[in-house]
Amino acid sequence: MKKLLSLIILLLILGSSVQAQIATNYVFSDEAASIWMNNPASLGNERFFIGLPVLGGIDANAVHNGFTYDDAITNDQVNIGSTIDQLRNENDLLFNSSFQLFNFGLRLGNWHFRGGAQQVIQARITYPKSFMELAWKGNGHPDLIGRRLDFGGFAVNAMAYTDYFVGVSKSLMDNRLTLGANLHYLQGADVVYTEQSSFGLTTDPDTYALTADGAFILRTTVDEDALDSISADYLNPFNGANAGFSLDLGVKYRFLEKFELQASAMNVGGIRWDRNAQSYTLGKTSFTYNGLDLEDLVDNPDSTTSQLEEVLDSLSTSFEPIEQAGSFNAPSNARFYLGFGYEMNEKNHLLLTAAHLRSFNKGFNSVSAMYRHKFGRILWVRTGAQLFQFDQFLWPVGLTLNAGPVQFGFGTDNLIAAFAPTKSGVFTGHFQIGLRFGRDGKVKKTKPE
Amino acid sequence: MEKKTYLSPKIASISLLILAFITLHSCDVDNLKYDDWKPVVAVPLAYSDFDVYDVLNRTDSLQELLVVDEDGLLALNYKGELFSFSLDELLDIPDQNYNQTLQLSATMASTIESGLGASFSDAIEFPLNIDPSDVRVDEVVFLSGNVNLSYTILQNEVFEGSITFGNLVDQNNTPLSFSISSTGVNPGQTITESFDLTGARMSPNYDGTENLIALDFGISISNNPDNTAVSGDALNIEVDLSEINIDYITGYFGQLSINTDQDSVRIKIFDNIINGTFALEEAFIDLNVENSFGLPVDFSLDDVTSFNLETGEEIDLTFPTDLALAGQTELNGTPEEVTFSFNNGNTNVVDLLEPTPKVVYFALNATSNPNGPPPPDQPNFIRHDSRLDVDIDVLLPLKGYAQDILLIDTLDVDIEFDEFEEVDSIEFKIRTLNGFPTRGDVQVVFLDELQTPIDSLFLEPSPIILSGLVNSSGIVDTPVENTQVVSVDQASADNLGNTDKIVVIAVLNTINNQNEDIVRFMDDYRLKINLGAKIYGNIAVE
Repeated sequence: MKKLLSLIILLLILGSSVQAQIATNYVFSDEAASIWMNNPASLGNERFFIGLPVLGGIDANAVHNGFTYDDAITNDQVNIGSTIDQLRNENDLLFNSSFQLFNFGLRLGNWHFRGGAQQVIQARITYPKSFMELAWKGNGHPDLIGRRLDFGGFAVNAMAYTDYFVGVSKSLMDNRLTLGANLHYLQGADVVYTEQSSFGLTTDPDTYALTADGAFILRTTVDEDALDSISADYLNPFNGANAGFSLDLGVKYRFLEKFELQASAMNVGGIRWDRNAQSYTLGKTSFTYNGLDLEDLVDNPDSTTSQLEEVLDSLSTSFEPIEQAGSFNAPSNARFYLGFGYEMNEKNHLLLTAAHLRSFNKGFNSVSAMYRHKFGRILWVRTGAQLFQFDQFLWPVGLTLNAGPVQFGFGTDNLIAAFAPTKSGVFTGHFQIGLRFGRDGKVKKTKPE
Repeated sequence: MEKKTYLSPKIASISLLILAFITLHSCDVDNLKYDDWKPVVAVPLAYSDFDVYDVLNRTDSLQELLVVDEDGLLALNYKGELFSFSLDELLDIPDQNYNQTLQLSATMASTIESGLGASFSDAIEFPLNIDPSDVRVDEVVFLSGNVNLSYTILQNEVFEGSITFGNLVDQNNTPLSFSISSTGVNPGQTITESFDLTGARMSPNYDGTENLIALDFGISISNNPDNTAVSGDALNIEVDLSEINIDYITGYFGQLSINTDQDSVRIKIFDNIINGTFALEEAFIDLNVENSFGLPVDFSLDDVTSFNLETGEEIDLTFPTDLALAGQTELNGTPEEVTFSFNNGNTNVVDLLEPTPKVVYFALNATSNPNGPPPPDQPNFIRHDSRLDVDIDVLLPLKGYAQDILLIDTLDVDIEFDEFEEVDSIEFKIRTLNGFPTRGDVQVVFLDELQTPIDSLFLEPSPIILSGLVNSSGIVDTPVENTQVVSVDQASADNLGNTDKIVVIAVLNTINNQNEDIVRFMDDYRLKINLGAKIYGNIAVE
């Protein structure tokens, strides 16, 4: 029991190798070539860039916004009650990883063209506070009895796909305005998608009658054999299965010499899942259990078992989802950014960013303030502060090193997690390496007059 | 198809587990300390929403016994046959035998020997046996039966002739007659002839004490040269009436006394009630009589007793004794139907349920022809299908008050708490929402094998059910909710482990019964009961 509990706690604390797109520390920081993945309105700083296969870009994020290790364990004492008390109503485990299979960018005058492919895995598991309260306190606890315990946010979502993209951007108005777009062809592998989840449990304070209500729509391509049947054919972009599209749109506008406004809408689209596609739908339903029928019990004292069987039959009937095979649409996890940049001088920049990140139809907000400084001609270092969901403080840091034709970059959105992992629930990492040709100095940057 | 795994949910899941495993072991889990897990689980155990019929049906198959008036007031209505009489129980013509030997006188013998011959030409009468014997029978028609006439020639002379019933005719109105002949008959040999009495009519001659049947003889005797006639027994005649069933009978049947044993009506609704008073504001008893006997009857309910089998308490009810029936007027007419109604005005029937009875006993005494013989042109009659049926119809409007109605039930139980070591205590909650004007105080006593009380659910009987609030008419207009909580902790549970029996004691009282306030039981009353439990867990996390 103790180890089981510990495992559950640690899983919640640490998450795993999946990630969510919460990165903001290099959003709109245009020293990295792959900025086009955050704002397609980027021309790049080099004439040609090619990311090294696999190493061209690795993002891995794990976020748990429920509690931290220190919240849960103090001096080897597991504080389950207080930890549950401080949970949000809905707590999320967010995972996101993306691996750049290859990418390249080419700048031709005021135009920039790029393309590439990446493999993406995204997941969100959401558990409601009330569920943990129920498990720890019991439905008869004074805090819970008489109120509807809302398990509505309960959701399990995961999606894996390969993303093939091409993009273009163009600068206008003497480089004061840049517009860009990327088009993604999404090749889905598998998905578990909780489209709707609404569950509740109410215990009547007078009679202890239990009322369960709920509705859900779960869509998936995963069955018990799915993991064993994954095939290389899944990578074939032309296999015709689980195809989708998404679009990136971006704009950069330098409205004063030192001030720049950026905005982008990324990965807006979806995938139509049709291989092994199943939907499980439970219409809005409700079931109340008042106890055994006293009258029946008096007449027939041996009816307990039969009555309980009837209750279970009714319960399973009420909550039996309709299983239906057939394709369905699932939205891609879009991201929306709005940034305001202030270029104090050539080596010091300040960037304020607001982001709204979608994860399987749930939104997450973030604001950040980033400062970057250029050391010499080859090294950019970034740091700042981020408020994820406006209440989780993150300390993003990162660097980009241009060593000759090799561009190397890494960073994290939360340095705190690196040296004090017990105090944070956000673990992120970013790594990239690529080759660039036509370095900064050879690329003419024009500033508005 | 070539399978190739790549970065997939499977790999991600394995990575997750490896990471979790590494982290788990780096945290020295064995040294972690946990608070005890103390969930409070609330579960509904049982419920019911009783209506009036459910409540009263607990003790009776009462659905058909409850009636509702136009205002919704309930009444108990017991109906049943109280007494029933038929012809067989009043009059009977038993099997009977008449034997007569004809004798030759010396003169008749010498006359026969002289060749002149002799004859029996006479009429004799024998009595018709009937029970009771003082009944005057004017006419009786038989539904079935047999008459056998046997004769035995005792002297070897030549006999020829017939015997005719003077007041017995067949269904064609022909007098019943039998032939007698010695031809082919040996002396001493008995010859029997039978006649089916179905449809035959007998009109006995009543001599003031007996009903007489006449036999007319017409028998000639001539000489047999081989035999010498002597004075003495010559011919034996025997008449048997058997298996008589009367179709109808008329006459005067006298002042028959009909006394019944006690019969009873069981008031099942009070079966489980040990003691207490249930006072009604009014009660009604109707005796519905259907009489197809053609004779006047006076009858009385002399012994009506409300009896409590548990306590032996009984109350005598007084009913009028001059209940008169005129009788069916015509033999083939319609039965007389009469209803005798009793209520607060003419009896103390209102005391019927005080104390709460289990059985109400009735005994009936009746006398026919209380005024003596009927006019000659209006004789008594009884048909084979005549009946005197007395049905009872008891109507008890549930309008009154109840005091200290005591119910006790004993249950065999086997309480075992050992299986619930992780339970600190259990808190039982009984919630009632009572729309009846009755309060129920309950106590539950736990007995060990020696029937010695070891504990009780409450310190003293607790009001599990509070009476609904009534308006000025005694009708509940506001149901009242009540909640009782009973906690069983480990110590109590250990003590209850020796329980062998549970005795449930309930005392019911209507609201304000100390003032004898009348309440009414309406058909829309309901009693909702919810029984739930809170289980306080205490689970050590190890």
